Amino acid sequence: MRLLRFYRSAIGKKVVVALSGGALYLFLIGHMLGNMWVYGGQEDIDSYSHHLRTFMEDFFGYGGFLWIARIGLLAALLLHVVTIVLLVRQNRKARPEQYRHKHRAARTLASMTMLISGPLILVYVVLHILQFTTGTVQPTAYEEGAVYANLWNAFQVWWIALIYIVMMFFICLHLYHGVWSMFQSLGINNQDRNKMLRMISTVSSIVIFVGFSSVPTMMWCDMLPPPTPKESAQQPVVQGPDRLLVQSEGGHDEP
Amino acid sequence: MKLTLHIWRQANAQAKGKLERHEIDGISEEMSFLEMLDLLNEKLVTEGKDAITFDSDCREGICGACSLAINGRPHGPGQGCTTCQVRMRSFKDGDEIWVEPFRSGSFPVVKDLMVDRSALDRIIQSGGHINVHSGPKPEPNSIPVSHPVAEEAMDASACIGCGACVAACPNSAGMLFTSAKVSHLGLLPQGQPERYSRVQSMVHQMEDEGMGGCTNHGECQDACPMEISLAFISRMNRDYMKATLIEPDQRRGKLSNQ
Ligand code: HEM
Ligand code: FES
Repeated sequence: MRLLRFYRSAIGKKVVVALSGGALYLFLIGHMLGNMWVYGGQEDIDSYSHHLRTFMEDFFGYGGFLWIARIGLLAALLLHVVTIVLLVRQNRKARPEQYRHKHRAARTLASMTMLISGPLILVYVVLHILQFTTGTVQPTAYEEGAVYANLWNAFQVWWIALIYIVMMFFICLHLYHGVWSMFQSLGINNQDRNKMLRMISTVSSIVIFVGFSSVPTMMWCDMLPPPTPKESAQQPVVQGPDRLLVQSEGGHDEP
Repeated sequence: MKLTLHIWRQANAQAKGKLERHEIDGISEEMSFLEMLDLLNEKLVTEGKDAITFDSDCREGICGACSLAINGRPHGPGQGCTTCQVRMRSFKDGDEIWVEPFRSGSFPVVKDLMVDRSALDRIIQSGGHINVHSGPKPEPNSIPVSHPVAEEAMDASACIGCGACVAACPNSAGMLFTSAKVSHLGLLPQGQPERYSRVQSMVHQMEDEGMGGCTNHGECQDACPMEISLAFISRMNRDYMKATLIEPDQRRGKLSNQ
């Protein structure tokens, strides 16, 4: 089949990596914007989380939209990782003998560490979901649906806040190379556009870093008010079959 | 000036190679890097030792025969120049210099610093040429090509096929070479009839040669003596996507509607 022939080539594989990476990148931007509800206060972020579950409820049912997004994101992540594994195997084979004297001209810290930042992101995503979405791992007090309180409790612990901030740095590094690389792999780049695409990549990775890491930073430094227990108890208790697995859509949890 | 050289010695593709240390004195700044190696070889031969094998031909940066990585960089220091154009004034008295062959699984070592780059010839053979006349009329050479496009095609065609891009790439990808060859024909009217079959056969040949894929580090563009742009890789990706996903393989015949 033609699609298979396409996927068999490294160019085709890079296109798949770029498209799946692009989908994850768009999700990250949405997620970061969703997190900004934290600055609206406890009620805002908690009801945003609830709203994500009731979004288009008539059509998809409670939490249905969220599940569709999660399945899409999981598929993108799987495609991204599996294709990278195939490419890395091909690339390693292509250069069996290394230079004894190493030289680096154009590679950046970001481009050389894609295979470090990537797997770290993978581990982080799993832990993050276990902590804030499913509540399986509860280093600090956790209550389903009480997004603000869960975040606040977690980020009072210095090492949890620090892990989140450091991980956001690795995501930023991944995107600093990844976003520009995506345009190149998709054949969108050319002499006219390169500067702008490079700029989009740099600026958006920095914005994503600042946006995400601001929440753990500010909660840790007590620059945001502590949660009021009463209000979080009043929040609609979220039920339903969701709350397992995969990427959670939007700021109901993550910093 | 006086230099210490660490030069890769390897009897053939199967043998295990190693770095050999040589001291050389009396090098003047005006000498080219290859003349310096010539001098070293004369010395080795008078001592009854085996001369160091390396490639070169024109020694003026146009043929693409010379190779070598000097201090890990294909074609050594300096932007946009080949090994044969490197002058010893790029080095200081007392420097230590590492000289290694172009390293790639697709470039087996013939001897010492000489590698077999016929993988690149096979990529050209697979599609880097014009087989078919571009139609009865008009005669292709009468089709006007706008100046900017002609210049762009010219930039791509500047590739001398030295293989520095493959040698510089951490994945040994042949993307810059192949994209230059694909683009210089694909930009001109004469190259249009085979544009989409060409990009497919050349890309597939490139991978059959065991070359890796692009990770967009940009090392190839930096090492290229002809300063060929990464933009051609983007262009080849575009053409390849169009060729494999959009352009029909089967161009003729009726379509059934049921
Ligand atoms: C939120 C998650 C992620 C996002 C937004 C993301 C985004 C991207 C983007 C946009 C690219 C550039 C694609 C291209 O040039 O074709 C890329 C490349 C890459 N990604 Fe990710 N990625 C994510 C997760 C991961 C994970 C979990 C891994 C783990 C294996 C990974 C490994 C890589 C590697 C190794 C590359 C480099 C590909 C290359 O240079 O050839 N990524 N990523
Ligand atoms: S010998 Fe011809 S380019 Fe160097």
